[in-house]
Amino acid sequence: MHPALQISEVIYTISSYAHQGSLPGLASTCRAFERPALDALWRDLQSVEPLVICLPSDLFSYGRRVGVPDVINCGLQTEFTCTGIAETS
Amino acid sequence: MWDTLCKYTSRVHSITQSVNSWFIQPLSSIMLSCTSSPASLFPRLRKLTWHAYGSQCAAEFLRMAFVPSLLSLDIRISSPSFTFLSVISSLGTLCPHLQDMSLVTYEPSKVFHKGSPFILQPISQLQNLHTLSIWDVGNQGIGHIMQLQALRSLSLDLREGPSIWGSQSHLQLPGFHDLEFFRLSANKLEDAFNFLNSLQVFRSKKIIACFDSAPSSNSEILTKFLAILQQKCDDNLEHFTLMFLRSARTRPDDFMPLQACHNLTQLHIRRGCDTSISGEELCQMVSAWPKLEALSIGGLSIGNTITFHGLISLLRLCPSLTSLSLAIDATKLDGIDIKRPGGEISSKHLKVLVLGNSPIDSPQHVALIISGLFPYLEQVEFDYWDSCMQAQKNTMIDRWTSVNTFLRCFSIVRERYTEA
Repeated sequence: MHPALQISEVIYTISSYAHQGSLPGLASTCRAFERPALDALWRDLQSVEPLVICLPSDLFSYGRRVGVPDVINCGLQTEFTCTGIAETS
Repeated sequence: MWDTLCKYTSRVHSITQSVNSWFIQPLSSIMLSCTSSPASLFPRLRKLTWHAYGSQCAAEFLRMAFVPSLLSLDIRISSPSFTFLSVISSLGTLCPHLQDMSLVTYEPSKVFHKGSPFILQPISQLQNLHTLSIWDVGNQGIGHIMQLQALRSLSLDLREGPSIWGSQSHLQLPGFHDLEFFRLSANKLEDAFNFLNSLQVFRSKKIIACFDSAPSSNSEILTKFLAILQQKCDDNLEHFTLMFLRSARTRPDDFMPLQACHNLTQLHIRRGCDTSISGEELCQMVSAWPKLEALSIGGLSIGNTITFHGLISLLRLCPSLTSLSLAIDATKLDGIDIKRPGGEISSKHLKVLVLGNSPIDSPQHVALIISGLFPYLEQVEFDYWDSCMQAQKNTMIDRWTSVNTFLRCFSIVRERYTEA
């Protein structure tokens, strides 16, 4: 890894400028990027939908992906991979 | 499950729910069973925008989102449930650091009686509130707002309220001493007059007044409103904007009370005010405002007789102007020296010139005059066109477009001359 990427401010700055759709991919790049990218991904929610769909799907009687924007789906896939939400659901 | 949810909610700084959503109901069900405190669920939440249901479900979510870290709250609802209103009533204790709050309803007449009791309590508790936008909360509510020491910006919507401002009140409220910005929306000028008349003091640097109804012809109410505004504001008023949603006939004399506002730097009489004004009347009006930096008088139409002579006199009286928007009769160029149109007078500060629906005959001559008066102006901007001039609209726009082409050419030539 480039030495610059060991500086947390640099990684947070990169994450803050990344496109919203790229953040899930950035979070799964490596451990160093996981937290800053997830912070940026969840910082400003444009609706309450992401909060609902990160809950176990069997809590509700609807399909997880129905009506969910692509970005959020993508983010969830990353979340499952990175943080092990799958065990809780 | 809650740990997982907290991993995400703890990262959230702002939530914007701008439409009604199917997701609100399941979320509220979950929130009901949540044993965590709101502060642990959303510890970093700073800003919440809620333009959706005012239902019980929404209330359950907002109960969890009203956290001590919240600084900005924007709620726009139609018919809030009592549960929703009861959550609002606890804002003062749940969000003591709130600085910016907007409570807007699409149905103020329905919400006033139902909602105001729930609103009054938090308003009196939110001592850090800097900016507030709210519907008419009546005498008692206004009294609470006046006690907010940190308040600098207030938007008050008196439309469709309880009509307590429909008649003159004998009650004298302390008023506002240190506002930077005040926006008043009312149905009629009479309501605004009665509201201001009920205040002992009203000091705000910037005021925007917006009315649904136009005053009846020959009515003195606009003069009375501006007179009471000047009287309460004293010399504090620096920026005043007047708007009517329906076309209103106004006279230059109506604005005379504002002449006592010697610190006025911006005056905007927006679209909706049709004022026939001559150059002499304009100069008489602005003569008391030597600090004027921005002037816009919308709605001037065929009755307007300001010519370039009036414009030159205006520049002489208001040398600090940086923005000017009005309609002139640019067909009358008699007596204007094309080589030195303003004589010794020119404005190097003017950045924006909007000439509205100004009639024009000769783009070349007008461009020469404008470039002489405003040597650093890059272009003339267009405004809306009065309905009575629709037939000439395309021709006039073509001619003003030509003026801008000439101005660009003059600018290039000037640059060459400077470089040489």
